Amino acid sequence: MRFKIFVFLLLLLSCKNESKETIIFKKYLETTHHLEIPENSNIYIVFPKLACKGCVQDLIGNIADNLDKNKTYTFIVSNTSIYFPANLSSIGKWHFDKKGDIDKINLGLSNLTIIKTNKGQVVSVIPIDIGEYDKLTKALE
Amino acid sequence: MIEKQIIFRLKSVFFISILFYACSTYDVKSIKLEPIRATKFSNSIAEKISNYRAHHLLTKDERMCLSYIDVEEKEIVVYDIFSDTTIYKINLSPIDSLLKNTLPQLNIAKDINYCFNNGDSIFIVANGINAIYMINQMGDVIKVTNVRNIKGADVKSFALQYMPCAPLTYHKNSIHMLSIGTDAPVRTLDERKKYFNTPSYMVLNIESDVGKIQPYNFPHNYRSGNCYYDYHPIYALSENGEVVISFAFNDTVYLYQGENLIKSAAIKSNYYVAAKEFDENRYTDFNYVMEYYMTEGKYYKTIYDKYKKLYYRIYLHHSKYLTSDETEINDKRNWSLIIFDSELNKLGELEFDSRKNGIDVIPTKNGIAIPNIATDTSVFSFTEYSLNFKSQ
Repeated sequence: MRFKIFVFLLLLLSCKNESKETIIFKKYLETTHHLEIPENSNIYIVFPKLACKGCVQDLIGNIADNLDKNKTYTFIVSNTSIYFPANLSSIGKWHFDKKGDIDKINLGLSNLTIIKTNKGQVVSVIPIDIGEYDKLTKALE
Repeated sequence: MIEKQIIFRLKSVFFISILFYACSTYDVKSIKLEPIRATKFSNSIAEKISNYRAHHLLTKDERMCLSYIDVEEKEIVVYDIFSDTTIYKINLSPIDSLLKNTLPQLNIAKDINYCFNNGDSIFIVANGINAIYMINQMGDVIKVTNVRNIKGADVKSFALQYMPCAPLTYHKNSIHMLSIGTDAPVRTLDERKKYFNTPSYMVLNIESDVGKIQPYNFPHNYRSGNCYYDYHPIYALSENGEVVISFAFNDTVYLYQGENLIKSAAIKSNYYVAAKEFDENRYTDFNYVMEYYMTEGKYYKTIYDKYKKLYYRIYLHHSKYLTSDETEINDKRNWSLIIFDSELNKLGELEFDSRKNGIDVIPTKNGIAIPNIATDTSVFSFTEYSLNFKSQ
């Protein structure tokens, strides 16, 4: 009996209890970019098409100054109407989603959205709205 | 005796009902669509079309054409859809240089729109510049009309605008488009009540620099300040100057001859469901905006068919915001093509599923052509159908 309970617990522990956000984002990265969510913590900075162009352009000026050289950043861009300054383009890894698959996934992405991951899981999805400079700074920490 | 009276009364009600029904219905016809021909674009053109919004469908010399801006070559390309050949190209370099003198950051691919006057002259308008530019087929700038004043507009400052519901249209020396008040907010009930008493459909005589507001009223449900995240009239013009004006969230269609209202009538979709109001506190929540767009049905645009002298009203049916597994945003919705004549009689309604694109329907000499939506975005194809009307 103890053995059966042990096996049951082992099976239960072996099942990864992934959040809906993790399942959706994982599938997107694999299908569109052939990538996996890394084990180390990572910050994805996403620019979807669903956005107020002027507001995002305004927020971009605040990104480069808030990035930490010791952290890993990945940029995902489907919004082609945004201009990225040179000091930002040289940071992190950049992936351009020409087909706009990122715009179809149900993660509540809009304007500029920060997706934080750790140990292969999505930890938080933080959409940044017009003029939310403090929220952006905090999300990039 | 009482039974006989009851039977007599029931019969009377039945016959009166039949008579009333016969008098109140139009000559509704059954319409049959039959495919005539279909085409697929080559991949290079399909990519250009899917990349850039500024494309138009038109008929020239009875040929079905697609025009688009080739960004690398800085040209408007006019392309025959069914023979897969380029008919001509218009050089945009001169107008690009001229526009950049006024607006250095202008992107010719994204920031301009254009309309044709029989293909011989092209009218161009750029976002952020209150002027109309006329160029010829060689690309030479022939005339610039700076729009300085708009008669009848109750706004201090304005911006020229165009959109699918209100396309940039040329007719008899005039350009039809929108002039949106830049000092007319729409966030609150009082702001909307004011806005919806300020018509924005402008007719500009290209010989003068003064535009004129086309007189029309927003319907009652707009003027009372309801919020639908929709602020513009839908219009279509016939070749003899008839203007049909309608609104996304109202059944009524208004027929004008120039500035005079001739008549109005409800041209209602069989699939119409009254929309709930948009939450005015969620203007910047784009996911909510998208959800509202997908889940509420709306009249999208009106198209005039010069060959058959008919109007087509496009109604987008309400749909679901998310796919059944809730992992993706649903981008599929059915739509209808409502056919009506210039007497504002509804002649019928055709329903289409999401495999057909209701946004780019084009009337042709033989019927109508409708784009097919493929899962592979590099393929772009049209099917032309004949429209056969049969009295019921």
